[in-house]
Amino acid sequence: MKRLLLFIFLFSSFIVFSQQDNSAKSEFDFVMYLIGNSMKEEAVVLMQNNSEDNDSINFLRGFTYYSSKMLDLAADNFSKVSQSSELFTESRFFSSLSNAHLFHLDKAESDLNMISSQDGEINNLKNFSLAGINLLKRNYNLFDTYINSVDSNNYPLNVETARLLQLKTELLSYKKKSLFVAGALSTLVPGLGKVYAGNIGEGISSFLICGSLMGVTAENWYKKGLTNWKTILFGTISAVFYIGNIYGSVVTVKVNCENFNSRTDVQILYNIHIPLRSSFRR
Amino acid sequence: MFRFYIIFIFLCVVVSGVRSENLQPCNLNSSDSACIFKKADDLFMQQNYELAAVEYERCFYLSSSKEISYKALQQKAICFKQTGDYSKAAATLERIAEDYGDYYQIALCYYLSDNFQKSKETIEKCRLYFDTLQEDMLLLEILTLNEFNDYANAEKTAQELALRLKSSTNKDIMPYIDKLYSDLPKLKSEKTARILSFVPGLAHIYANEWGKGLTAFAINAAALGFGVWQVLDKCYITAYLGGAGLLSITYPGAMKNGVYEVRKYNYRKTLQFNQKFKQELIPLLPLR
Repeated sequence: MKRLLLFIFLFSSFIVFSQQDNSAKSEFDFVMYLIGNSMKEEAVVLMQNNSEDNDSINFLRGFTYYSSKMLDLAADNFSKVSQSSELFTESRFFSSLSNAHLFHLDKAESDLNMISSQDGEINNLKNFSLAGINLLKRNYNLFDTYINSVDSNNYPLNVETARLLQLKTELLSYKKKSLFVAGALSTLVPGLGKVYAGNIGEGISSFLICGSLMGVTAENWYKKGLTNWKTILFGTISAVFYIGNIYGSVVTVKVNCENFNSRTDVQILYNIHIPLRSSFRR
Repeated sequence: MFRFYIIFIFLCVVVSGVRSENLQPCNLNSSDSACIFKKADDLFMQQNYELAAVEYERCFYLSSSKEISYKALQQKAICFKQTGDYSKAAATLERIAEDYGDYYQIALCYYLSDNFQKSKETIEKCRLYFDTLQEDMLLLEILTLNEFNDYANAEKTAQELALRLKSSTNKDIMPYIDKLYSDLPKLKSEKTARILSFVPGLAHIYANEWGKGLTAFAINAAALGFGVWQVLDKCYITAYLGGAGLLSITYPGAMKNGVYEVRKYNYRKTLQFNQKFKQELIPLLPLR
């Protein structure tokens, strides 16, 4: 009799848990359907109203936020997926990517280091992602170490690996312009600092504006004297433009350097993102 | 002890049964639509339209019945309308548009979301798919044509609507329509404004913006005057760079701004007319 009772009990428990699994799976599929059909806002609403706290839902919530570019929430939810879950590896990869987009690079690296797998493809992907993160950190030694660990015969990663290596070459060959030289050149000839920074058109325009104002000041000084109101007015305007142009040249060099770095970072992130999405078919 | 076991197992079965009911409320292919939409309808009743819209989408996603899919998206569109997101409502209805009523709702939602081009396109599509437009669609077409300042066609459609209403309800709105369209907004020509703007400020005055016109004229006159004065003063570089340089900035600016002011004037007048049209004519119409 006891055995019969135990059997009935186990059977009932099985039914309850299998229904929970089915529910999680159907929710998973539905959210993926919403994301895949450009209904990300709806997916976010659904996830915000889902108070369940289990691995599937946390992953789903993380992926929904990740797809909607709510990266801090995405990283937070991905990190809640427990190590025993089959979604753990994928969660860590996406958590790392979310943190990398937020430039929390140490967190991104530690997310990847938590992945331990015997699967060669996963290890390849891990090394590739770590190489990308270290390139974002501009840590070229570690980048080389990780990128050399990526199996060169791995087809999906071949293209992106080559691209990361090319980006590294571009970063190393980028000659950082000196702020001091830009300022000094603009002091000598207005606009020359901007030409040095690579903005030739802007440099010529600055030269013409400052030159014209100085020409007007010189004419009035020559014809009307130093104390004439026109000399003082145009002289003041010329001085403002002249000093502004020196400052502008310094800022241009700084901004160009920042733009180069951020453009490269965007490309690195894009190259990390592609194999991740294709590997997990998301 | 035995009794305890029996009660425990009974509770387990009851819980699993309840869960089963919650997880899979009913057969989604069944004809019992009240059962299928229960969760979404409950949320709708609680005015939680955002979540209700998602649940109606779930009904659409899970259903393989055309009837249920159609109803689900219609309900979803209503949720978006309740939240004032008319463009999403229109996009949702476009996924299932079948009959005349759907097309009317799509055109209306686009109109309400200020997407007059899409509204016009939907009405034109409707003209192709269905032989005649009903009165509500005619009214929408008039409103849309008014937004495009296409008053000639809007008046023609309004007359068609008036004739239809006269024969169906015996209500004559033709005098109101004639009165409204005899008092059309007098719009200014952008072409004229462009020509007038060669004299700085004149296009502004044409657009009834006297203050801005006089200011634009004064600034340009000052720049020109300064240049002339410097020539007379034999300061040629100052004349060229100070006078002409300044004028090269202020003159084209005044020209552009003059045309912009005319465009703004026309927009205001159109808006006034369209508001008046809506306020005076719509209450007279015996439409649903």
